[in-house]
Amino acid sequence: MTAAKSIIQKTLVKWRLLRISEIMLIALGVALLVYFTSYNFWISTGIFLLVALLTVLWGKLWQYGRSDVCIHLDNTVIEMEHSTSLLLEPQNKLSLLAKIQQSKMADAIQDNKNQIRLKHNLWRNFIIAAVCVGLGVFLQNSGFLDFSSAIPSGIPKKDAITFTPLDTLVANIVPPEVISRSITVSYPFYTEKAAFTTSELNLEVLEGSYVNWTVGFDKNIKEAWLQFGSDALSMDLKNDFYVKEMRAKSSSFYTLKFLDSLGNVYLSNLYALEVYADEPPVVTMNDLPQFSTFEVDSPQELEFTTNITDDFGIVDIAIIATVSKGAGESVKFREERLAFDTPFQKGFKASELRKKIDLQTLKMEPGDELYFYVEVKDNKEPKPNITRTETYFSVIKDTITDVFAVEGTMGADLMPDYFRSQRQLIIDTEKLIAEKFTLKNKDFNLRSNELGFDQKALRLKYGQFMGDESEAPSAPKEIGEATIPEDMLDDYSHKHDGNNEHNLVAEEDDGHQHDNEAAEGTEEDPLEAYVHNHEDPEASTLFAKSLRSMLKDAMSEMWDAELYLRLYEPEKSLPYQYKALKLIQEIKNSARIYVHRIGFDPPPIKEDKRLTGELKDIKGFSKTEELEREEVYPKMMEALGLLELVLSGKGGLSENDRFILQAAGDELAVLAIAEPSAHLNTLQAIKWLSESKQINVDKVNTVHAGLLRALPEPNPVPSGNNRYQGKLNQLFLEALETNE
Amino acid sequence: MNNQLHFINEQWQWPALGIAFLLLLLFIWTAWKGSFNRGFFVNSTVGVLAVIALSFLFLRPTRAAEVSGSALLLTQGYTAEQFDSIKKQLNNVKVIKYNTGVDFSSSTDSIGQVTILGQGLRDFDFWQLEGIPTYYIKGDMPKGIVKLNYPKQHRMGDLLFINGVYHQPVLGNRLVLQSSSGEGLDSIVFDSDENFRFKFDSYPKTSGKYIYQLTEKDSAGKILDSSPLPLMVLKKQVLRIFISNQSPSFETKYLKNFLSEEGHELVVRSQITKGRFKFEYFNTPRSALYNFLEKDLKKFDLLILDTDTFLSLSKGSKQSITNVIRAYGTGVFVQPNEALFRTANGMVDFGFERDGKDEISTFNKTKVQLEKYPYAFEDKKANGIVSENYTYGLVLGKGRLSTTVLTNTYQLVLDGKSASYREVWSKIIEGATRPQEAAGVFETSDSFAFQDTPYSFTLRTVLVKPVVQQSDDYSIPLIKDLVLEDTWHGTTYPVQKGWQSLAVQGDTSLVMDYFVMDTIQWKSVIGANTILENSRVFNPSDTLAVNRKITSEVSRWGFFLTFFCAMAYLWLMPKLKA
Repeated sequence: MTAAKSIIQKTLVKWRLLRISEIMLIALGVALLVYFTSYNFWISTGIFLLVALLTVLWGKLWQYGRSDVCIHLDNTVIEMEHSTSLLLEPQNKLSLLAKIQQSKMADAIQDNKNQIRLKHNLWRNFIIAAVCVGLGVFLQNSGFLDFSSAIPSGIPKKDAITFTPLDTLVANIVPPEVISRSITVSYPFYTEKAAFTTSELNLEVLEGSYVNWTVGFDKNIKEAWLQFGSDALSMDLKNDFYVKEMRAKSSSFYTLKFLDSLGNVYLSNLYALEVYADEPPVVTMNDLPQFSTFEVDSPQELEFTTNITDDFGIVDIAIIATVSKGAGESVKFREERLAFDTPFQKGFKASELRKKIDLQTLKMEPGDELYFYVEVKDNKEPKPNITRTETYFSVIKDTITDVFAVEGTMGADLMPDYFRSQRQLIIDTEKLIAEKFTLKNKDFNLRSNELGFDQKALRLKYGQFMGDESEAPSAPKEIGEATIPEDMLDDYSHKHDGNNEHNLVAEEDDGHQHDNEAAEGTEEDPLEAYVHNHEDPEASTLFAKSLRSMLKDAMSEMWDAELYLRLYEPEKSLPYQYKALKLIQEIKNSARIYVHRIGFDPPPIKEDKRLTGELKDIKGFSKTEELEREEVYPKMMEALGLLELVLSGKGGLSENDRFILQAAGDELAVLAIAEPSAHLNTLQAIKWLSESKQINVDKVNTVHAGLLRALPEPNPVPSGNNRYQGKLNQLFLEALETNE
Repeated sequence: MNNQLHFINEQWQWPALGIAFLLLLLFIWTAWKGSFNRGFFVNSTVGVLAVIALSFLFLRPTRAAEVSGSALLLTQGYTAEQFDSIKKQLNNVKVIKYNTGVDFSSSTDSIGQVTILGQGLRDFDFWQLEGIPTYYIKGDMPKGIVKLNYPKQHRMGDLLFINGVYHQPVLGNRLVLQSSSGEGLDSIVFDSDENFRFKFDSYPKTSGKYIYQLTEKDSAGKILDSSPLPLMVLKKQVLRIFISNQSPSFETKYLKNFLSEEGHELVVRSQITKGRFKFEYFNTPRSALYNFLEKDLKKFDLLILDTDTFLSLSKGSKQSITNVIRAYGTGVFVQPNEALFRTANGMVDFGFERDGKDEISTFNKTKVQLEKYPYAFEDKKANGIVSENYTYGLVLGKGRLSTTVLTNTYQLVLDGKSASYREVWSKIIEGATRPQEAAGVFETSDSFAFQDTPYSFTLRTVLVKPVVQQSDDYSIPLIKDLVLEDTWHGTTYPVQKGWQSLAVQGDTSLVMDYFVMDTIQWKSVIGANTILENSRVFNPSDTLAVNRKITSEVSRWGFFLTFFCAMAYLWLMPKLKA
């Protein structure tokens, strides 16, 4: 009987174990799911207990007892004949039959104990638990629910700021962690761009932007700094957050450093603050050749489109056009600001503008030239970026221009026009001779006389070069009809604009009274502009002399030419005119040679001192210069030597050594900005070494190798050496010399 | 010497003889019975024997005996074949194993001849075989770097050359010159399998103490071996240079710029006209130098004179210049022009010969073609020194007078080859200039210093009684050289690894820094050097001809027995007679 009761009891225990296992599997599965998503042990333990409790309550497990086992046995084991419960009854309370049945059942249960089967859902629950765990792992890896306990603020783990304690002597301390950080970048006002906030610490900001760092820690800390090179900017504590705002002026690297309540200093990795400049506007001219020419009788219109883009907006666009009239000394310039035909809105970032320039509206005439370019200003403050296009040229062809160049290779034609009029006179004279038989005698004489007058005017003009005093040329009054202009030289010289004074010879009034000195041609010598005298007596004596003599010859030829013209014998005048022309040509050539010789101004030589052998006024000269060679990266070199000693096992780094490393870091930062990929690791390691009181061999190696790479290869330099001249050496050298 | 009688207690010889004499007198007196009878003579003789035996017992006489035993000294790198064949030839041979620095001399007491197998003994252990005829059978050359040549002290701005021989390299492996942090500076791939010659060059970027590494890597980049290469890089020294030209030249202009920008102290004198000069002072205070006076010139390390100045020197100036070269070691460099090659001068004959070539190719790092005068140096003079292939100097006393065949070198600068220009002129200037006189110099023949291994050095100095101290402030005893009175020898036993120094007390300029490394480093170089050294020292023709004799104490049992018997006789005989 006891054995039968024991079987029932064991069955009950087995049942309970099965139920508990089922509950545990479910609870464990849910708890692991929570753990994988939260990374919090306590939360998952709580969940575990909660689920277990709920399941127990739901299943009401405590209500299940031996009588329930009996019912189960009655239902599952036929041999028990629905009498299992009898086994639990005390014998004295049973009837005889019941006792017989109880006895029979006691035997039956022992015979059939192997047939007892308890239903369970272990496999189902195991699968549920496995699914929960799988889901948890999936969620954790997929990052859907990636909020680990380390960064509860939502900062992805990979982006968390890694702080390295500078003093690792204190072991087993949990460092304060950054639980929130935000960097707000406010663009300069003129950009009209909204500020943005990011948690990314490597920043790329526009020059002049304000950058605001806000960092929150999970524990109280004493102080926090933003460290730019060797400058540590203390952060202000505002509402539990450390805040610092600064204006981005130039690219640099920074680290976040803080001092915790225990007095330990922590340093973050190095982050880049890259500052980019406001780009100047980009202007593209379409459909416009650099040079364009127009015929006089064709439409003179210039049409083009311009594409303008800028990163933050354009405030001003203009076409700056310059019209030049005339040639040589008489050229005149007129500048105009033209607007585009397409209206533009201030502040636009990209636009295509159209313009049609009608040269006629600019009052351009044949031979006139138009130069223009487009100027665009962006909205940058305080100083806008200005872009100018290339200059474009447009010319209205002048069909009557007689191009004369003194020298093809010369940059500018410096010869005044009246040097050319001798040729004109010859042409006119030849024309007169040719027309001699068709003209009336009177007309012929008149024209010959006029030509004579022109010849005289020309001669007088040359006379000015010679410094000759001359009376105003008077009209050939005896002929009478000819109208004499007020300034007869108008035909030979060009009136010119004040703008181009530098190109021109100063004109004199006809009635100008020269004093004797002026007559010598020393003060107002018109040739001065050409000979570049510079008060150089040597140059002036040698060069001007030959020019003068040639001019004199030319003038005497002109005299003869004028004489025959006055005598109405142009045929006889012509040879003299040719001779004069030839001489003038030679003068031009001399002038050209002179132009080529400009550029070397020999030192003044006093004539009376030459070749006298007198040295008393010649003085010695001395100068002193300090050119101490400066190393480009002195601190980097010093730091390299320091680390070399550290690597050879010679102790650690002193306070002064760390200062040197910091200075080396500043030098390297300049290189790192230009080439971050090459030097950023080194810079980061230098930062760590310069701040930490510990030595990390890996970091020392990184810095050493990095500095070695960054330093330029030294140039070969001569240097002195040390030598010990021993007695033996001396004897040897003496013996050598004696034997030689 | 071996034939003479020697005693171990030789210092007690005379007192012992005195006492023996007294004892002898005592014996004779006791033997005297009033007549010269037989008993007196017998007893006296026995007494003499007793006294002699007693004296010898105390004085401990020695004797020289020829030894005939042979030993095999097995050193690092011996082969089993060598060992077996030698052992077969020599019967009853004693085998001694050699450990560096361990005293085995007691094992060779009765040995008449030693045969060394393997790489041999380190030089500081040679004393253990002193006087023993030794035969050296060379072991195999070790695998690895067997020859290494590089300057342990290097001047900043010069190109550092490291060359050597690698014995039996694995084809395809690489030898890499690295900085102490492992940064590769230069490398070479082995392409011959017996003796591979390698050469590295590098410009050290800063002055200070460096530990370069010579690392062998396989073709996959795996490090097989790495050995430290200690190097001291010295700062460049500023030179004091005087340039005198009779007329301005581009050559001088560019040279002047180059030298002054490098921080050298420069006085440039250019003649304007007769007796009038233009002086330029770079990095130095004004101090006009109109005449070449000895007192002015001796301040300079180098005088650069153009040929016109050099050829037109007055007799007095020539004398002054010659004196400063000879007495003070000042260097003189003559900037050549055609006249220098053609005209004889009273001061020096460089010895040129016309070669008709207008160009020369340098052996420098940057190989360039340089314009030159169509002359070459004869180089037949005993005191002539050719430096590179373009500059030549003649040693005069302490100094040097040099010149070059190059011309228009400034063209290199104009062509943008300023590195070549700097290299060419650095070589010329360094070859011509006066070195700073030092009070002494440390020298060592040891390639490297190893921990707990003797490190020998030589100090040559003008100091009368130098005291050398280690970096740990211990003084090192010095031995004066027998022949050279300014030379001292010493040995130190480094305990600490890393940079150590030897310094002369009272003179801070006399310092030698050396790097102490682990004994496992550079085994192949040390092995190869040991083989060479042993081959040189243990020359069989010198040593095998002599038979070795050793001195040993004569057994005292004989003397004791003689003394005992004599005393017994003297004691017993009267009793027996009675």
